[in-house]
Amino acid sequence: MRILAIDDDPVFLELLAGMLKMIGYAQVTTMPSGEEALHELDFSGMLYDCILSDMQMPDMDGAALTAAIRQRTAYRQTPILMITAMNGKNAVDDAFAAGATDYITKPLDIIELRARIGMVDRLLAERRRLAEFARLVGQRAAAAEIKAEFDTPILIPGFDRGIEFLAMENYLLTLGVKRMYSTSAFAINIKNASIIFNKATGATYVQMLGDVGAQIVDALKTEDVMISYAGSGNFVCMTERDPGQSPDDLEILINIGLMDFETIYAADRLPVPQVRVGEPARSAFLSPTKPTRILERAIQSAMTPPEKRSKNGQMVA
Amino acid sequence: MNAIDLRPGLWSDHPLAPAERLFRQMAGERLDILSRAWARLDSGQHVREALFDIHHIAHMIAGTAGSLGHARIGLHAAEVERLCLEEAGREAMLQALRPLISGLADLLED
Repeated sequence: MRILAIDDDPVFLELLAGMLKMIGYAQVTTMPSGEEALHELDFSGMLYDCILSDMQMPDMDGAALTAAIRQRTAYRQTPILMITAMNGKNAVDDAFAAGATDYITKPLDIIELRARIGMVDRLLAERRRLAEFARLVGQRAAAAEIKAEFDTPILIPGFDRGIEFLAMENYLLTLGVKRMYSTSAFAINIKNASIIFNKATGATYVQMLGDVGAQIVDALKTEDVMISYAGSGNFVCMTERDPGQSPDDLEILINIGLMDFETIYAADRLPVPQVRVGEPARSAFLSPTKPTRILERAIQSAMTPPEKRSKNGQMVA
Repeated sequence: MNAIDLRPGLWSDHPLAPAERLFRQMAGERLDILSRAWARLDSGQHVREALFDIHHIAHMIAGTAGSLGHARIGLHAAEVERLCLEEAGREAMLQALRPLISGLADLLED
């Protein structure tokens, strides 16, 4: 991520660049004033992904700089984070009105900095995914309008980690007995999928599925999991390893990640998708069944509220 | 979390070491500005300009000192900045400036 940082205090700029380096962001350009920052944006030939600006600067303050940056077409949507002293929080209102995205308080706290910049990173990743999605949709638009069926498994455009549900079933059928018993599946149910499906266009609904898929990938923190969308708001994950986290923890992580998109959904008058993670399902040694049965059981568990599941994850009813 | 020990010679390759070095380099210049402003404030001459300089310098120090291992200087600067914002009286300001000025002077002797 290319970051442009602006502050009239050279010590603060060094400190900010050092802290950003500590949390993995080394591409930082610093400028001592708003005027020089605008000159950099206009003439350097660089396209910055994120702008961090001090709020209180002589000549041009953070709010005025934000307003000037937003007038540049290339920077209409670029995240702009204001940096302000704790006692200057009220002044941030002007910057928000001018188009700032968020703010960070001085003195810098590395945990806060990591959280705020991490949010920007996720926002940028989501925008890239949407841009890719738009490109794919554009390619298909001439052929057919995106038409999502609620209960049909689909391959979500732009969701690179997803495989077709049919492919997942086929994969299960190819596993030998030993691997079959070491494989588990768990599902993630979007609890309000039908509400969103009924309110949104087909393209928006598919986009929502992509958002959830991206959050599942983020929350899993491992690549040893196959993920597929099985229709009816259900994702199924399959792995030969221990996922390393409980369904409850995974559920919390995914739902927290989805809350980052609250404003995007609010703009479309849609609720933020909320998920429930089911218990893992495995093949039982003593009662061999059709291999794909574990996928059905995983989905059933995710669609069932925890209080209606038995302790071993089986359905009560 | 941020207040790491960045004394000279320690952690010279630490990502925050350049900022700490710059903080020390600029301490002299800032000490001069604050001392001149203190004298103007004390004498009652050019008080507005003095307060402007004090606020500007205190704001910059308050925003960085704590993160660079100079917590006490940071706290003194934050107190001076608070008094500037609250437009506190001259006596209170002169009193709050003393530990900040002496903290910067100690840093230069360090």
